[in-house]
Amino acid sequence: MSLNIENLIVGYGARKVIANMNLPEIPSGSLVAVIGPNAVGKSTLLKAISGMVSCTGKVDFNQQDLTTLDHHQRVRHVGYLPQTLPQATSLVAYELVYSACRAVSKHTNVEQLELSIERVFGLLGIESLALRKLAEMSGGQRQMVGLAQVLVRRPKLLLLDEPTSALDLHWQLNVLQAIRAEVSSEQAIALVASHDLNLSLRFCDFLIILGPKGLLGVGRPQDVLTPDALRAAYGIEGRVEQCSKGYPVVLVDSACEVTL
Amino acid sequence: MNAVNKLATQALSVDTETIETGTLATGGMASAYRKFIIKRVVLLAVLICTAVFSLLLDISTGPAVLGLGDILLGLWSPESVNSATQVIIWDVRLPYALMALVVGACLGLGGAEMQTVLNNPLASPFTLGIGSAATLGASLAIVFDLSWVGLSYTYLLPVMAFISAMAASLIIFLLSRTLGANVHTVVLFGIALMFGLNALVGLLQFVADAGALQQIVFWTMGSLARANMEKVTLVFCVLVICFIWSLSHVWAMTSLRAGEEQAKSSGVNVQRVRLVVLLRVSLITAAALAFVGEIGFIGLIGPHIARMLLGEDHRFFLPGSAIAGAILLSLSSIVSKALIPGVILPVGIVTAIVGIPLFISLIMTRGRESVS
Repeated sequence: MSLNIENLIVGYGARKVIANMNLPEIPSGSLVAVIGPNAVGKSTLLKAISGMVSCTGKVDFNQQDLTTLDHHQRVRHVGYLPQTLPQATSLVAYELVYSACRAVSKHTNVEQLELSIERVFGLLGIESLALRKLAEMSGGQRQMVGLAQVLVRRPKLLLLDEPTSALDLHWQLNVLQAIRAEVSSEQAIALVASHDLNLSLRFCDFLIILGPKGLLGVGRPQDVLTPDALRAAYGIEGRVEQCSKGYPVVLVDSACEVTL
Repeated sequence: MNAVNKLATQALSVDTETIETGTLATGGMASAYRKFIIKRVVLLAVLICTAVFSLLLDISTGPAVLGLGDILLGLWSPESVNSATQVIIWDVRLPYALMALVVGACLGLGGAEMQTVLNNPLASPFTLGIGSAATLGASLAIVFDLSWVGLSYTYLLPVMAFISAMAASLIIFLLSRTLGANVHTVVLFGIALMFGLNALVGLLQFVADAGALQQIVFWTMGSLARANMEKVTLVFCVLVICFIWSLSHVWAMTSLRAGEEQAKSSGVNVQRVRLVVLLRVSLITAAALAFVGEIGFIGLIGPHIARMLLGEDHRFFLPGSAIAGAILLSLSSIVSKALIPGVILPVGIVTAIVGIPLFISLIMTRGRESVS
């Protein structure tokens, strides 16, 4: 099982956000970070793969071109977590996750569904939120519930758009560990759009670096996250060094002179 | 030392708390949830009882004094009460009171669905101009005296109101479908349509003679006085059909409460659900308003009450909104008869007078909740 992206073109109207992207094969069991500055198409890439926006090109997953499937079939393979948090409603977390599953498959085995919900809430460590209203939760807690809603279907391809944007340090690590564990145990593939370079370096097998002029690099984090890549993508002078525990960390020195 | 002790006890108590919630969750989150929704089932039952009680009270209210005992006896075995009482109960007050319940339920259900698919707590069947369209249809029938089509006047008005309301909804439906049914498009079209239709009604009022003008104004005030059992049955059938139909969308609508993107990523076809629900709301609203004229606020407040009591799981929220709407209109009907003895005020006026303070108080409680 693997993910292959060839000649991917995505645009809103006449503006091409992603112009002809080709990615090397991504094997199953890998956690991939999609990094880059604002407005380079991180979210658009995830939306295109998930089918939330239309695209041309090939998105082969598991020897099947996802672009040929209709939305309903596509969501069986793909779990897309939007960047927007779930709304603050008077629904409790449990019934939101429950109803989202019941809404798409009419003949769900209720017992099995209850078990999967329990499994996911346990995996993310949010059992205590199950019967709390979303309106009474913090943004971070709602983000966790949103993630639970995606993971409960056990999709083989996870597309997570900034899943840790509203979380504190403890929960950021918690979520990435949970995703890491899920990807390994299910032999799934996860693409995670992120602004946190150090978290990406620490947890991900591969990085996809997008810059203002398109794809800047794909590969092992230590191979592709170079000072040159940082300069081209973010316009910053930085370096990647090893911390005292041996983990790679990004250190940023200054912003480059921007030539417009 | 004391402080350290205190800290230690605090830590201990926190620990036991987490352990307790932990066991509760792993020991069956599903069964905990089942216990959690029992409260809602009970509340729903209480609402139904309240509606029945309100119905009886509505029947007993009026110029001729009838006790609750007489009413129950008259309903149970009509032969055992005198013929005057029989006529008052069965021909005058029962259709009137039932119409209040049925129309209220239609407006409550329509409002709830509208608020969900437009993701807007201020949406109601009037937001998209469906109410204005019904008024335009009725006004056309009144001003241009369409009796030549062969329908009696009592049915001509509702038929015209219904056709006009459905036509307006169809316009919104088609425009939304071609332009992508996102929330803002639909709401903006609805508002534009509402103002346009109101202008047309104004034009009709301008050209109408005094008699017709009076009738149009009376229609816009909303009244249950034209009710009979036939009409009640008709509206009731539409209510039952639409309610059963709405059950096929309860899960999709519940998941939509988390937001359009979230629902879409779970695989819900949001646009299609939105269009189908709009069609259903148009049908149920048009049917309800056709016989009673403009009755506002029920479709707005009913869902708010249901949401506060029952949450937004649509398995409970939809029936809850319908029953809350029914109770509200039934109570309004009682007030419309009781406020000035011997005079039945148009019920649309009462719902607005009672509805506005109620609505403001709901907003204020909500506001306080979100602050705290």
